[in-house]
Amino acid sequence: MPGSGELGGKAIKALYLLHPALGIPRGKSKGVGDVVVAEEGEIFDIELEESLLEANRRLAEQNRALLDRHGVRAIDVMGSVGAGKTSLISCLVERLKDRYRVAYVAGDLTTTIDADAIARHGVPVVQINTGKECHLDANLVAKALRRLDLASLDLLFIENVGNLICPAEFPLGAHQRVVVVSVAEGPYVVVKHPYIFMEADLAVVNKVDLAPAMGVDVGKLEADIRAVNPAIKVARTCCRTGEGVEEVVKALGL
Amino acid sequence: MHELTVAKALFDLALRAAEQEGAERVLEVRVAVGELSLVNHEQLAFWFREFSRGTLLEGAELVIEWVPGEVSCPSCGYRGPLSLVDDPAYHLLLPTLRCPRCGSVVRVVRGRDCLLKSLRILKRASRPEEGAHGRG
Repeated sequence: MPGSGELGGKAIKALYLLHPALGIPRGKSKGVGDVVVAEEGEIFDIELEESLLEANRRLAEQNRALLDRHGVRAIDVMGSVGAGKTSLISCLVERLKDRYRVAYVAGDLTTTIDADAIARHGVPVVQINTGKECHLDANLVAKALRRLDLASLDLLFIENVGNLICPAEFPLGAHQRVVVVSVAEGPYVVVKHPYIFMEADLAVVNKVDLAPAMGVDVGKLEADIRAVNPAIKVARTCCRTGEGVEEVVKALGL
Repeated sequence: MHELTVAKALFDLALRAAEQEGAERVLEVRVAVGELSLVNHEQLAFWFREFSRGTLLEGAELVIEWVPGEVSCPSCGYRGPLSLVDDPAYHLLLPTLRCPRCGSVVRVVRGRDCLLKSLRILKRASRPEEGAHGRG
C-alpha cells in the first residue's frame, strides 16, 4: 500500500496531499465543479525521530563496554589548544605509571608531537590524526583502541583535539571527562564556553603561576566554573612545575 | 565545524529513508535541534545543502525546529527550563545546572539531542501495470 511501511521501526504516515506547486492535472469540469485527480505525484510525510548524534553515542557505548571488559578506565581530556592538556597528562603519567599500566591516545589534526612527548615515559601511545576534524569521535577512538593491547592496561588517557566546543558534543566512551583551561586564555574563557563544563567531571585551571601577569583572578574563573556546573570538581595546577597535580590525581580518584 | 559531521549524519539518514520509500524528490526535511546541543542552525543548513547537491534531497527545504532545554531536579522534583545566572560583572546570562528552586544539581532531560523528525517526499503514484502496490 503506498505510503505505509517501516523504517527504523517507525510507522510511516501517508498524507496524500495535493500540492499546488506540482502541476497536478486538474480534471475538466463536468458540471459538478473541478475535480482534482492526483496522477503522477503524491506527497507523503515520513515520520522518523532518528537522532543525528545517536550513531556516535552507540559507538561510545561500545567503546565503554570494551574498556570495561578489560578493566581499563579511560579519561577524556578536553581543552583549548595550548591549555596544557599534554603537560597535565605527562605529569599524571609520570606519577601514576608505577601504580597503573597506563596508555595514551592523542588526537590532533596532524603531527605526532604530543604522542612523542608522552611516549618518552615509556608507555604505549597511539596518535589519531583527524586531518581537518575539530574533535575526536567514538569511531576514531574505537580504531585507536584496536591498536592497544587492552588486556595489559589499567588506565587510558585520551587527549581530545584542542577545542572548547565540538568535543562536548561527542562522547567517546570514556569513564571521566576532564576539561583543562589555562589562565592564559583570559578571564572570560569559562563564561564564553559554558557548555563544555556541563559535560565534564573535573575542571583543571592550569598555568596558575601566570595569573598575576595575565591579570586573571583564578578564584573568579573557579567561581564561573562552579556557577555553570555545581557538581564539577575543580583543581588548580601549574603543570610546568607539577604544582597541584596531586589534587588532580585525588579528584580523579586514582 | 562539527556541524559538518551532524549534517552528514542528517544527509545519510534522510537519503536512506527517501530511497527506501521510493521518493522521486524530497520536498522537506524537518529537524529538531535541542537548545543544549551545540549545533549551529545556519551551519547545519549550509552543509546539508552542500551534501544534497545532485541527489534526491537537492532543493528540499530544511525546517529546523528549536527544542528548549529542560532539566529535572532529583532533590526537589523541579522540572522546567535550564536556569540562567545573571552575572552583572560580565553583563551576561550564564547557563547553570543549579536548580532554581533548591540549589541542587539538576539533570538535563530535554534539549540535548538533534533529531531528524520527518521527511516530506514526492512519490510517483503506482500504476496498475506496475503492480497494484508499485513496489519491487
